[in-house]
Amino acid sequence: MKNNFFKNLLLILVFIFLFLPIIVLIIYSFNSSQMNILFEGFTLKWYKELFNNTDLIESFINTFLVAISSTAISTIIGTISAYGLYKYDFPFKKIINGLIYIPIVIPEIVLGISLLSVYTLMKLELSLMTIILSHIAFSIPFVIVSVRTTLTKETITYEEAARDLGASNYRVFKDIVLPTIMPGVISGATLAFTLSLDDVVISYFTAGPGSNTLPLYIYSMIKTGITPDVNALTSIILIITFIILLSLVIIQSRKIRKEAI
Amino acid sequence: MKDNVIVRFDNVSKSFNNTNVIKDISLDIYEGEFITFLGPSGCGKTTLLRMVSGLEKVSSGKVFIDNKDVTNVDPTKREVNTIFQNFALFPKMTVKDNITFGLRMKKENPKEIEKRCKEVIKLVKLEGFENRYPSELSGGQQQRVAIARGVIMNPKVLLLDESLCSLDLKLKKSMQVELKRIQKKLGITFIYVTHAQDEALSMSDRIAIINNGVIEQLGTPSDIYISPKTVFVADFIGEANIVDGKVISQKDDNLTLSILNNYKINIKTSEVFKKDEIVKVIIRPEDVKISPNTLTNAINGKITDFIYGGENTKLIIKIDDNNSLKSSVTDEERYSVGKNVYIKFEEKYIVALRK
Repeated sequence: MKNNFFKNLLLILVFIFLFLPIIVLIIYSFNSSQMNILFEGFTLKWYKELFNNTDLIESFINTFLVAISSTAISTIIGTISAYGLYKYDFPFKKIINGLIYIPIVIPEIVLGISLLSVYTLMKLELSLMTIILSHIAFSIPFVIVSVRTTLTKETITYEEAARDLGASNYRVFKDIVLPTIMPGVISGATLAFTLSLDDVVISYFTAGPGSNTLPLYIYSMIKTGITPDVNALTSIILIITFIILLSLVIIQSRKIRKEAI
Repeated sequence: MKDNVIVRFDNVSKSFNNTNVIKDISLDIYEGEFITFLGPSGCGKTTLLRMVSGLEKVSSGKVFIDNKDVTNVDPTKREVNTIFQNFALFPKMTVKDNITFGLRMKKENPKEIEKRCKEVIKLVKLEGFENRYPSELSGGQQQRVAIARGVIMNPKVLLLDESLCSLDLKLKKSMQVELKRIQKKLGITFIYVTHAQDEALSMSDRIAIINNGVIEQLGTPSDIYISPKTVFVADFIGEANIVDGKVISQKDDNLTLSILNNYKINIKTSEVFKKDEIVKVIIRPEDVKISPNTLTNAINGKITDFIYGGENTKLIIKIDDNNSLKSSVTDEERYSVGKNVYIKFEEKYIVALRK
């Protein structure tokens, strides 16, 4: 009994530690005070103000633009690379396989600086485009690694079976390979999306004038103090994320129930 | 039936990283026959099969299917289909989608696909399972789907790569009958690859025994069992006692040999041996006749092992310190370990081979 009490206490403490900041954030988005220190009264004015803050809205749109386009491109390139690295033999394959991990393990700040110097060297003007390029660059290895786990010996056999039945290379990839590696592709894309969405360091180095992303915008506010309309925006993002997650869980559990029957 | 060559290997060789896995094989396979490539693992039998499907390229030589040189033809364009070792059913497709995959790739008209799908599902007895997924099927049912997926294409040859190996013994036996039934009904040539000699013996019209990349012997199952051409074949097919023998005399096809410390046997042979030549003598366990009663002109031995096996029991009989013989008996209740027995041979089935 006593043991159980401590177990539950520990669990509650951990959950408080995890979720208290998020709850505080949501509560403060309804705080009538300008400062994030004391709760002075309930208000919805920050939600109204949010839509008048064009800088904030623009950086929000930029963030999603970067995340969606870099995810799409890096998922395509990463998936094809993982498949190619798995299927074909060529010189230096082992070395290339090892090199893939470098962008994952090197500090973001190093990657940020090196990308910046590459752009300067190539005389590329810093803009939203350079942020997208940088995000593609650091996302590809994550996609490759995640897709690679789903490519097994069986994939080769399935491919052979499909070719034996007369399927063209395109149909083999579309009908046979893609469905089997789909879980890896989805998890790779999700990883790329989240990494891009909250990236500060690399974006900081590669962003040009007028190409602010939301994390950069918030980061720059630290000096002047974060206004509660940011709380309002993040609360909205949180709720959207929560709804998406919840529906995924519901779909998943329905699927499992269906399979059980 | 035996006139029309459907698959021809013409001096085919294959090497991977400078090791020759197939060494200059030439072989004709006839229309409508059930031929088995039998051999130990790593002997090259699967490679040979994959050269028919085109999934493996030849290093030199030519492959013909139905008198057309297909050596450089892509597997997608060859009129043969394969049943893979673990069936390779597409896991995200239903039984029906699996079976119709090939026809859909050929862009066959949907009505025709539907009709042929019904036919093959009936042929392999899978009615009612059309909308299941492979993971929801038993091993035997998966095997049937794999067969249906191949035969729906009306291939000229169906290639089976160790297709029964993953099934349990009982299922294996019933699928052997089933495979033979389907093959008879369709009249398609089956090329079957296995390392299991019992499967080969029970299903095949002809067996090609492959070892180290060459065909050791080609013939009907009974041919190969009764008159093996090499010691490897004798040892690989069925069980055999292999002992040294010395030629005493030969008169036409009657050969007199001395085996096991000057015991004389007379056998039939088509080969010509020299006097005093040392040969390998192959004696099947069922031709080692033993008796607990004293016999004249017999070898004396002592039972050291008793291996009960249902319909027949194997006894290991020690002749002297260097020689033991396996004997297969049906009256096992008369024997026990340690007992002295007298041995004679069924001499007409004994084979002598050059070393």
